[in-house]
Parts: sequence; C-alpha cells; structure tokens
Amino acid sequence: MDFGFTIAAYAVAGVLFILSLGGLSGQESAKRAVWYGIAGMTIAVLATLIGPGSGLWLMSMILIAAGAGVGYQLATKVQMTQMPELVAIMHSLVGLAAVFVGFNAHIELVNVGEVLREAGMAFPQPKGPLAAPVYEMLGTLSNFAALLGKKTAVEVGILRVELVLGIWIGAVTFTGSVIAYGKLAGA
Amino acid sequence: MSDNGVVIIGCTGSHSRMAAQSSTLYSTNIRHMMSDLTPEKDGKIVHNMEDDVIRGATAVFGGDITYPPPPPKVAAIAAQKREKPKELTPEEKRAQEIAAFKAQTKNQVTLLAIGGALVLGVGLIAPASFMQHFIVFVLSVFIGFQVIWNVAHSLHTPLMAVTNAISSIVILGALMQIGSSSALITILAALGIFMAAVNIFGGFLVTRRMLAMFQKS
Repeated sequence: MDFGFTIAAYAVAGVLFILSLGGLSGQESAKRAVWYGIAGMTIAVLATLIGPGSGLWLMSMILIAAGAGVGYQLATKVQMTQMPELVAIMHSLVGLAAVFVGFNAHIELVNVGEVLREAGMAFPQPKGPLAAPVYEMLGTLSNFAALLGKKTAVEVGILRVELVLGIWIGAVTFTGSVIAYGKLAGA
Repeated sequence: MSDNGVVIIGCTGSHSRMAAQSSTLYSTNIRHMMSDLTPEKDGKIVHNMEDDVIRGATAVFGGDITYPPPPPKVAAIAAQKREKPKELTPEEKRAQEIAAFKAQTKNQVTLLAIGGALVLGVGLIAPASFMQHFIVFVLSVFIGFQVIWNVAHSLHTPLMAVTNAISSIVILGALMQIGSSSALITILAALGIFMAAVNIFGGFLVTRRMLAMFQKS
C-alpha cells in the first residue's frame, strides 16, 4: 500500500469525524453519530497500520488491545456520577500521548541529522529531487526517519514550529486535565 | 386518591414532621445570625447597625430604644419596576429584523475579509508545503466551529466525551514512530499508543453510556 491510499483513508475518516460531531445536534442522530466516530477511528488506525511508515505492527496491535481492555474496564465500571472525572483523566492521557509524539519527532530529527552527516551527506536536504546515495541511505533507516530525512531546510523549520506548538498544547491539555480531575474528584 | 379524584403525592402525616422541621429552620436562621454578628469568627460580637438583618432584629442598642427599625434597603431595590417592553407594530418588527440581518451580514463579511487577508498574508511568506498543512488546519477550525455550534445543549457532556475520543487520533503519530531504531523513541511511542488506545475505547464507550440515558422512557 502506498501513501495515496493512506491519505484517502484519512480523508474518509475525517468526513466520518465531522459527521460524528455534527450528529450530536439531536438526541436520535447522536446514537448514529457515535458509530460514525468509531468507524472513522477504525479506518484511520487500520490505514496507518497497513500503510507505509508504520513498523512493529504486532506490538502496536498488542498495545491497542491492552489499551482497549483498560478503557473498557474504566468506561463500564465507573459510576455514572463519576463520568466527568473519567473524561477528564482520559483527556489527560491524550495530552501526554501528544507530548510523547512531539518528543519522538524531535529526537528522530536529531538522530537522522547525525546519521546523514556522519555519512557525509547534507541535512536538511537541498531543494530539488533527492540524490541517489541519500535515497539509498534513507532506505536503510526506519520509515519515520526516512520521512524526516527527506525534508528540506524550510520544511524542517516548519516541522520544528509544529512540534513546539504540539508539545506545548499537549502539555497544557495534560496538566489542565489532571487539575480538572483533581477538582472534580474533590481532592 | 382524595375525594375529588386528585392524586396527591407526598408523605402521609406531614404534620408530625413539622416540629422537627421548624426547629431545623429556626436553628439555621439563628446560626446565620450568629455568623453575621461575629464576622471575624473569633466569638467577638460586632454589632453592625448598617446591616439590614441586624438592624431589623435590634430593639435596644446602646441604651436607646431603636424599635421600630427603618424599612430594609433591599426593599428599595426590589421596588424598582421594570419597564414593560413596548409592543411593536409589524412594520417596526420587520424593519428591526432587516436591520439585524444587515448587521449580521456586515459582521460576517468583515470577519471573512480579515480572516482571508490573514491567510493570504501567510501564503505570501510561507512555502507551499506549509500551506497544505495550514489549509487543512483552517478548514478544520471552520468546520469544527460550524458543526459544534449546532450541537444541542443537553448533549454537551457527550460532546466532550466524543471529542475526547476523536482527539486520540494522535495515536497515528505514535504508530508511525514505533518502528524507529532508537529504543527511547520506541518506548515513548509504545506508551503513546497505549494511552491513546485507552482513550479511544474509553471515550466512545462513555459516550454510548451517556447517550443511552437519553433513551425515550
């Protein structure tokens, strides 16, 4: 599967997410809306797993299954009155995950730069098509690293800005949600 | 069921509870009076004659008979009558509606012009690859605004839960990174996948549980 398919799947997932949020305009359509959201998430995750750029898919599946177990336990066992706390603490997890993803991208960016420079190649890449040796070199790296290695100086700059924003927003989400949980739980 | 067919719902023999009830109410009153009298909470009575409640309850103060008290100030506030809104003629109403519509249009066009100018300004400086990301961002903000605006008020709690679940889309980033050669990245990505997965399943299940409560009874 190539990137075109993955991106098409993301577009479908995006439409489903919009329908999912829009369906909450009425109580009857809301029940349908949840299923749109679930379908969108399933499509997005599956497209990433079978698409290029992902590695260790077995480990990913195991982790998702473990997360599913914990999530199911939490969501079904908790008292109805403690739902807001549960939503708050789960939201903090997303914030933390976003922070980790941002850190990872930064570390990988530094790693790729080192690897390429050690091999005597330029990083960030100059404009225009990639040189053949660089292309070969990137083929030996992991998919995500290869993706980063192809970037030009401007693109790396943009990525850095996006990473700063991503980590910052993720950290705000994390701390805010934890404090919201504490307040709701009466601590 | 009483004689005339009206069903009265409540506890029987409510008169037998009256004594306890009135005692509770009275003691609550006294307790609040005490806390009004001792604002510092140190047991010292501060007799504030400016306070409506304390002034009203005082009969003798400092050797003078202060009874009857002046009417409380609160009554003066309540006495102000609200002006009744004028009945509008159909023509006036129509004119008002047209004016409101025009104002709304003007607002919207101004906002669009400012927003458009900003996006164009960014487009002048930023490279094309950034603009692709940026367009997606602008469109999602716009769609999110339009869609969330129409959400029913009673459904805001499920909305929080479902947006929380959808925000776990960050799992895609972690899925892309987990295959990295660096152990640190793999561990962080694995943690990210696990936490986002908890959130995906938990979030959607919680939403479904909440929505089940809206079932027609």
